[in-house]
Formats: sequence, C-alpha cells, structure tokens
Amino acid sequence: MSDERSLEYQLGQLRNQIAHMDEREKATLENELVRLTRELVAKSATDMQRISERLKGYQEALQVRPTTAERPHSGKRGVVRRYIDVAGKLAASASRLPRSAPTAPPTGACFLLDLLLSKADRKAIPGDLEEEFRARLAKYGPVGARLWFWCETLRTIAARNPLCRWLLAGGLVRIGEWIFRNTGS
Amino acid sequence: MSWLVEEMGFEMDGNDRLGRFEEIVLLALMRLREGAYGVPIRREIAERTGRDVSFGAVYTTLERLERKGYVSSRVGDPTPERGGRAKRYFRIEAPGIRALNETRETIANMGGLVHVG
Repeated sequence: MSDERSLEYQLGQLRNQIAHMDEREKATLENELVRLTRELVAKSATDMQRISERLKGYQEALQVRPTTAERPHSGKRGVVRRYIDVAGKLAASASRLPRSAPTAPPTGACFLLDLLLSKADRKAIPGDLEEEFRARLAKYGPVGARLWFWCETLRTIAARNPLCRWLLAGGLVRIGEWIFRNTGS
Repeated sequence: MSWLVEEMGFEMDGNDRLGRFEEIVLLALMRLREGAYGVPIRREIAERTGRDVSFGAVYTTLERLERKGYVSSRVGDPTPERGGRAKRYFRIEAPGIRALNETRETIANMGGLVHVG
C-alpha cells in the first residue's frame, strides 16, 4: 500500500469515528490529526494541499483547535521553529545523498565542502582534494584515502570558512573572557 | 601557537614584510614555475620542510600574497581526474621576487652580525 493510500485509509477511519465519539476519543483523534499532518510534510506540494484540505474539513466537523504543526510561525518561538524546520530539511536532504563508492571521495565530505566554502574556493579546492585523494588511493587503499579526505576537509574548512577562522582567531578567547567577566563580578 | 598560525594561514607580520610561511610558499612557487597549483605547491612544501600543511592554509597564504601583489593567479581548464573541476594556477610576480630577496638579505645580514650557538 503506497503512503498516499495509507494516509487516505487512515483519514477514512477517522471519518467513521466522528459519528459516535466522546470527549476522550476526540482528544485521541486530535493527536492522530497532528501525526498525520506531520507525515504530510514529506509529501509533494499538490498532495499536501489536497490532503490538508481534507484534514481541515475533519477539524471543522470536530470543532477542534488547529494542530501544533499548522499554527503559523510568529514571535521568538516562531523564529526557533523556523530554524528547526530548516535544520530538519537540511538533515533530510543530507540523508538522501547517495552512498559513494569506496574509490570515490566521501559524499558527506564533498557536501560539507560545497556547503561551507566560498564560491571562489569551490572552484579549485575540492578538485585539489580529489586529485590528492586519487593519488593516495593507490598508496594507502580506500580506507586510508577516505580518512585522509575527511581530515583534510575539516582542516580546510577550519582555515577557509569565515566563522571558523573568527572563532580560532580569538572569538573563543573573547567569549571566554566575557563569560569570566560576567560570572566573576 | 605557531602551529595554529601556520595551520590556519594567519598573518603574523605587517603588510610589507614576509612571514615565515609566506616565504616558504613563495619559494615553492619559484621552484615550480608555470605548473604551480594547489597539489604540487602543497607537495613541494611537505617534501622540502617535512610538514603536512592543509590546502586551506596554502590557499589562505596565497590569497594574501595575491592581495599584496606578490602573486597572480589564473583558472585553468577542468580535468576528469579532478571531478571536472578546474585548477587554479599561481605565479610569482616581480614585487614577490623583490620581497623574497629583501627578506633573505635581511636574514643573511643578521646572521653575519650574530654568532649562533
């Protein structure tokens, strides 16, 4: 059964429950709606719109308040939630990355380089790393070469990413001083 | 501390003086001449000095030398062994050679005055 069919089946079940229901069951149904709404995030835009309209219909019929997942983002909590959403989407896209072959550079490290290096650096540095990786592949084997690639990626990002440079150039010391000054007085 | 300075390619000296790592990078460019890009520069430094420097440190130093006008760069053609990415070639310019000679003369002069050991 596809995910879409599964959702429709579950929605059908909810529809049958509406007719004979007490307050406790209503609360259970509300939780069910929250869960279904969360699942909808993974669906395509068209499916999301279609099924969310159906859910809205059920909510009106039940006269339940909007689910947590459907509340608009506002205020400080909204900002935090927006960041959580973005982080979730980023993690989801990273987990969907195809696994690289042992003789190819690690996909995760390449993803980090593309994400954290500047546009100018992205033209040359990943190519240099890949060329050196291929040279090390024959000498140290796939495990050694991949390990080297990961270490070198982290060292390169630490040296070239502005935020990492700021932290290592004294940002950490300044933060420590600020904490010491504020907790000491 | 000196490890961190070299690892990150931080600048220790003022704008008109060459730092130790800057001098090493310029000497590597002198030796490599036309074929100087990230991989051979890093290998040359590793072979001659016995230190494993990161690409990040090399590029940070080269970028700073380029800002000072000591080095120029151009982007080459993409190659398949580099995953279709281009090489960035570096070349030492006349002010770079002059700065390198001045630094080496200064060290030689100081060595002539002080008896080491």
